[in-house]
Amino acid sequence: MDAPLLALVRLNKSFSGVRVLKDVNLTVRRPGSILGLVGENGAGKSTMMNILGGVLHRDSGEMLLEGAPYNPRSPLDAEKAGIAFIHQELNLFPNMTIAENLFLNAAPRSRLGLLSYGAMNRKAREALRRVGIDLHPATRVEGLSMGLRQMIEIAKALRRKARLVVFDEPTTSLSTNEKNHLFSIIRELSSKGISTIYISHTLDDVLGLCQEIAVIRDGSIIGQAPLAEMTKERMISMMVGRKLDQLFPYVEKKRGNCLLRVEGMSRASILRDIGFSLRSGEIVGLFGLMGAGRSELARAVYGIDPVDAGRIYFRERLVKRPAPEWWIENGMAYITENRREEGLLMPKSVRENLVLANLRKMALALGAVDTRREDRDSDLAIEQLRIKTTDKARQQARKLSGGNQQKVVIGKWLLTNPQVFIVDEPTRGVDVGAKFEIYNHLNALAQRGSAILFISSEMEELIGVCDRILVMSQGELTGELERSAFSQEELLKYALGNRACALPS
Amino acid sequence: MPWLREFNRRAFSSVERMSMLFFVLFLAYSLVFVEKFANPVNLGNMLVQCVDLIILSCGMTFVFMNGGIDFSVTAILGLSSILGARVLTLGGSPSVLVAAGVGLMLAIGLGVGALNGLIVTALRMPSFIATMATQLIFGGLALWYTQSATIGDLPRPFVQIGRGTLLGAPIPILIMLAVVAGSAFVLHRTVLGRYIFAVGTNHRTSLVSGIPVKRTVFLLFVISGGLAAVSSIVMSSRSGAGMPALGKGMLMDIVGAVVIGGTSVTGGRGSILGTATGAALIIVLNNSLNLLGIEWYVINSLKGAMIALVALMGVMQAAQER
Repeated sequence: MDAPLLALVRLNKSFSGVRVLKDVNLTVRRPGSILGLVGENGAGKSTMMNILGGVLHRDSGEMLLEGAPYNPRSPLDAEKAGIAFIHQELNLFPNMTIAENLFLNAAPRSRLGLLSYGAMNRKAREALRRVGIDLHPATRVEGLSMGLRQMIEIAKALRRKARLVVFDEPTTSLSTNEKNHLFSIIRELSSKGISTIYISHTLDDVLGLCQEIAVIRDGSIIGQAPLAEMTKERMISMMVGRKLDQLFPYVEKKRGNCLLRVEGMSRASILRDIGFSLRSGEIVGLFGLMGAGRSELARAVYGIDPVDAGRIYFRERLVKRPAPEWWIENGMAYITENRREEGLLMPKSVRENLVLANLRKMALALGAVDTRREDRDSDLAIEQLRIKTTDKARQQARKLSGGNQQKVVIGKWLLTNPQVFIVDEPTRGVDVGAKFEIYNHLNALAQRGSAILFISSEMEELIGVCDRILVMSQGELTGELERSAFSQEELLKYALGNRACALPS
Repeated sequence: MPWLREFNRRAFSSVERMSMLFFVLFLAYSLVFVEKFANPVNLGNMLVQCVDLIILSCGMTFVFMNGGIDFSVTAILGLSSILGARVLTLGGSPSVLVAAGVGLMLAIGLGVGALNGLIVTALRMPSFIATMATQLIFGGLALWYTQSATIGDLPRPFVQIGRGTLLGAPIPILIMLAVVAGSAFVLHRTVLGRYIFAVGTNHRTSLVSGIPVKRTVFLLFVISGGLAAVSSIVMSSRSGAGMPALGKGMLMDIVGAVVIGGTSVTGGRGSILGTATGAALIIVLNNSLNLLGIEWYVINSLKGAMIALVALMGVMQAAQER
């Protein structure tokens, strides 16, 4: 076949006068190619994929599938053309079974026109086997892990005879095993002539899986090259447009008094006798595998979840009833890992979100809101964090890119002037450039005397930025490392359950 | 024509504005084309109905902001009316009686509201069930207490509230304006109002951000109950009697006013001005269509269809913003 499987030629798209895609060229060369697509949030990846998938219409340019013009007018056209999308937020119905999800709009029917469950289950079994899953098709989706759900989505795509599958950030909720399984499935699809476009922020994954890599920045494809010509540094500098000397900035800080101390925190089978302390000027990492109990610990300290036992001391004074209201008033901020559901009011404006945690301080006579202060404070946060928003009073938070959303959450908390920060996965779903900015902000806070508990699953960023790292495994604190002793092997050792000789205090 | 495009964009940009536009048009149409509509007595009647509906709808708006509903307002109307009337007819110094009567009526409204608030926040019962229960209990209590009879002969100072004027304007109108202004101020300009919008949008985020969620929700019901009591004072004083079934049948119009005014039934979005417009629209509709000879059950169907249509538009607008 001379013509490439898919060619996007000089695609252009503008929204309200803003050019979002500028003469974009992208090629999937052969059936079976695995093409990686990387770029900062807001660079245009989603728009490009939405045009490919028939959700949006391009302003100009061409799309060719095996040399023939491809002009989808709706997602259904894309599906019929053999292009399938596996989105970050999966499109499965948790209250229905696997089989029902697979056959949503293509259910096999008996002669009487009724649904034929027998045939449905049989075909579902087959489809599942192709992706290496051995579950009963009548299993309801709601009990299944993200990794399994993703496999079901792939099975769905295969059933629709997809020849190109587009993955959008597929590994954010997967365990390592599930990720390896996903990769092996993608490679198997590749050997069978089914191509893949793999979009991800995890550059190591892209380097490990893809045969060719394309980098998009500010609406243009900066380059598309085979794997051999790409390195992580090259990808990053292409994505960001400048050389990042180090990915993870570290600064020396003066350590001061103990601001937060936790002792004996326990909760049924989730937390077991956890104790740690945070001092002013420290960035303390909290590492662990999924399910280790890190977020649960943070939520317990913050008062969102109940505990069975535990004492919390703030500035050496016992906190009798930890609750968010109390903490905010006394100077602690908690940035949850779940910004969609707990961090932001999605349909509300950027400004409303920024001032949300600080409203108690904005009351004038009769309880009226100090709107001038609202404006001032939100402008300050936008400026300091370089939040990209078109209109802070009218643009809804959900319209922002992931990185900017995260900045809004951080900005909201910064305005409360906290001394202690608990940040849970602050850079998840955030592009490289914004990540760097967030690390710098954390450093600046610590230099000014704040204490930060940095919860993360990314060893690299913890090793890069923290002064010391605590490790949890299955609800227990298994180890603590000082910066001088940081090593990936040690961290992993503790995360897997091996304990240190002396427990941290 | 660019001005037309801009007008379209602004007028149809929200449910609230569309309702306002429709209200103005329908009012104009009725004044011109519907016989007897522009009659001063008729207009006077409509104004009276507006006062009652607007005060009650303002209260309901607050509860709707959290995606809830308050069925008990009609029961509060009846119960406070007859218990207030009982106190007012005890005999003695009129000014003391009036103060006690008004005080009791307000206390009943705030009390039932507080009870609703407690059931919803502490017992975590959906407002639908909680307020239906209180409506049945307290509404039934009112009817039982007087055996469905009314209590007349209320003292003159009290009756003056509903029939008198102050500085040239009828007192009920002034009360209504105060309620609208006060409600708008609280909802749109105070910290509590911001809390209400946040809580109505997302409980979890509000909680994590340190907003007192339970207290805010509790207050919504207290406000609703309190305003129902205010309405009861106005209605009872105007008619000069305490009536146990006061407000019977008004619930549909109250909910209609709130929804047509653009307040979202799922919470997080709404406006007092919108509600007031919705209420005025409903009153005008009721009156005008009645004068045109359309039967009440047809009018009800039309109102129901309108409410459904507006709620649908609200949902579509929210979906479009994705």
